[in-house]
Amino acid sequence: MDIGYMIEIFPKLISTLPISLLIILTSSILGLMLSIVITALRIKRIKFLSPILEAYISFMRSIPILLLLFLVYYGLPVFFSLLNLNMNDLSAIVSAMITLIIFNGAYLSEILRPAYLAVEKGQHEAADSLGYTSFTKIRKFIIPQMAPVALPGLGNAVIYLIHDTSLVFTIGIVDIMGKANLIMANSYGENKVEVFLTIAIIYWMVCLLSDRFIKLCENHTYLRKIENKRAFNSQSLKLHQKFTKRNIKSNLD
Amino acid sequence: MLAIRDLHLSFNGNEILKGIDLTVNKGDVVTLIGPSGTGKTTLLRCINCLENPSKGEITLSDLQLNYETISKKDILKLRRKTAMVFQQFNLFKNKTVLENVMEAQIIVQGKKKEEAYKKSIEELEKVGLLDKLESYPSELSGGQQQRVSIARALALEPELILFDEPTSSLDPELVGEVLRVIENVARSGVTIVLVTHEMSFAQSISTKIVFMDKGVIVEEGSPQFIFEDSNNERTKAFLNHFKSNQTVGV
Amino acid sequence: MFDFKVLLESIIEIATVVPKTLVLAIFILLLSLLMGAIIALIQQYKVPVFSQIIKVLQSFLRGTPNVVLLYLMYYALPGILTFFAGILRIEFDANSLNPIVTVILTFSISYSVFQSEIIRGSILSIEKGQIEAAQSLGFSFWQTFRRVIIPQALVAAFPDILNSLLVIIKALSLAYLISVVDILGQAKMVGALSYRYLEAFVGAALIYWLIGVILTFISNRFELKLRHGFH
Repeated sequence: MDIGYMIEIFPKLISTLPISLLIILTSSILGLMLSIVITALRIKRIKFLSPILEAYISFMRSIPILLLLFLVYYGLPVFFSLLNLNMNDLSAIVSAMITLIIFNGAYLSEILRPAYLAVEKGQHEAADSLGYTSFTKIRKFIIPQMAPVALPGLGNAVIYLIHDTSLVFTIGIVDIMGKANLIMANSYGENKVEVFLTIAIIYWMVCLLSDRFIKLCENHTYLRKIENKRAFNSQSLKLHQKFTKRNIKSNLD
Repeated sequence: MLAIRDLHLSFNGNEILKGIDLTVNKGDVVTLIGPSGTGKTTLLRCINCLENPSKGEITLSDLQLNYETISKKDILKLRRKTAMVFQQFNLFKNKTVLENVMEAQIIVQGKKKEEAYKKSIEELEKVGLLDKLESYPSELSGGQQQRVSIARALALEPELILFDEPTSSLDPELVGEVLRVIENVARSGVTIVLVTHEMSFAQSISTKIVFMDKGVIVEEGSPQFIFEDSNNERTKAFLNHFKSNQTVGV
Repeated sequence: MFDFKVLLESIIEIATVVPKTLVLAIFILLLSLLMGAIIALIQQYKVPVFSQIIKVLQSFLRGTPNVVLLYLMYYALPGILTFFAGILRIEFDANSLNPIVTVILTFSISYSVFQSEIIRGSILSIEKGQIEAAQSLGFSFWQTFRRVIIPQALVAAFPDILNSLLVIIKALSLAYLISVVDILGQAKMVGALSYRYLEAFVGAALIYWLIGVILTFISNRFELKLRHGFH
């Protein structure tokens, strides 16, 4: 195990991180937006859209991401040419992003929908009866109450997204995995274990950071605020009891 | 100031409300009574459009609307003139007591924060919960939550307050404190439409009792008339049932 | 541009590899369940050194994508096995290591932690009263375990286990990278031979979708029967 070698290739691998991060961030944000639209449509149960949406979700949950990457990369230009639109140079990065967005969108919708349904009907009715518009109601009451339910699932979804990103090298993107192939070619196939161990550690760090971020979000939910109050109160109560006990004791002496 | 004409509502092919006419004057305390499932709550919820009638007209002070042609804007206008107190309290779980009472004043009515704050304190004092301003609903008992819910409704100074079985979900020992608060609200001259099973309470605070059965209004009149002088067979049968099972009153 | 006849032909050719893939997936599932059970026990009884190692392993596996793990194992396993063979004085030819072994080992380990969570969850979900009833009737620990806990835990975990099977079938799509042919690997070969990649991929997608729909259907029917039968 050549640790020196690992340290040596570290900066070379890190240099490709921006591409991966770009793909991860764009796909997660746009994927979340797409999933919000999909979830909203699924909840409203629009007549002819429902079967299409459910089929879409079922499809995305059944096929491997690797297959979808290929399908979109090879298939999208063909699909567009059928509509008589020209799509000559589908950049691999754009293709990867589109793939991850539609793939992720389905998975996220399966997390957001139960979270939405977990909010009591009464909360909606209270807001409606007081004259809140739909948008304000959702912003002020529904989303904050969805957050504690959805965040753990969303955290997992980001981790899976990061894992999925590790496959984009198969359609030619030179990200960290792509760079690994170059490094291995240059070093005549030596030290392959070190290369992938370093990559594993880099991905590990990225995932840890992501989990840390999600934990931060979880700390700001209303449920956490209530728990902290209770913890604070019981701490204060214990201190108070300690103090008064001592007082009583001294009075008895 | 509230007039409902020929209200019909069907659900899954069953007609639940079969042509209701109801008039409520300013300052009235109208109580709807009747067996379970006869549409009392449904009727109440039609007033602020939480249910969708298939037919009928509603007039609330200067608003005259037809349920068949009602628009989202109209519904909003209707809801901004009324406030509802629910059987399940329905306080906003992610807001403190104070925030619950202040929220709608600021967002829906556009009041300034200080004004909303003052009004909220006023109403919370009336219901006796000034010591719980920073508590969340999950930290309160059912009776306390319901009292906050009433304060939340009152703070908006609505033209009409709707009470949907406000004490039905409470433990017996908590019912009294909530009934006392509702009584004070009634005495202060606020127009109220109330659905309840607390018969002696209904008798003591109402200006008009409306007895419903199977989707129609069977009889209406003063509490004296309905409870003592009525000759209607169905009314008497219903009230006899309550006379023999007296629930804990106020 | 898209030929349906070729699609049909591709599907038939790809389908030949489905049984092998399913068997491989089930094998990995069972192995990962076994490992998962051991991990669950270690964590439940908080075994001194091993719990900590498991915790680190858990974090590492959560943070490392399957493909990285796969390549890592592919390049590291021969060396590791040669090392252990040396200690045990066994003759071992590193080159004869079949990549299928790497695939099985990698995915079993990768999903073992996942399975341990499912197992722990399902055992914890068994009502305490069931265990107390068995014990008061005189069942020994092992009898309770075998006759009360395991059956109920399996039933509770069944939908999740079926879901992991689907996850593993999808994960095997990476196996072709180290020359183990699964559904996707076969699709690539079929596509290469016919020069019609798109039809092959669409064919593979339809096959995966069908598998997914069938597994979901079985899972839902099971949950329905569960609700009617037991309660």
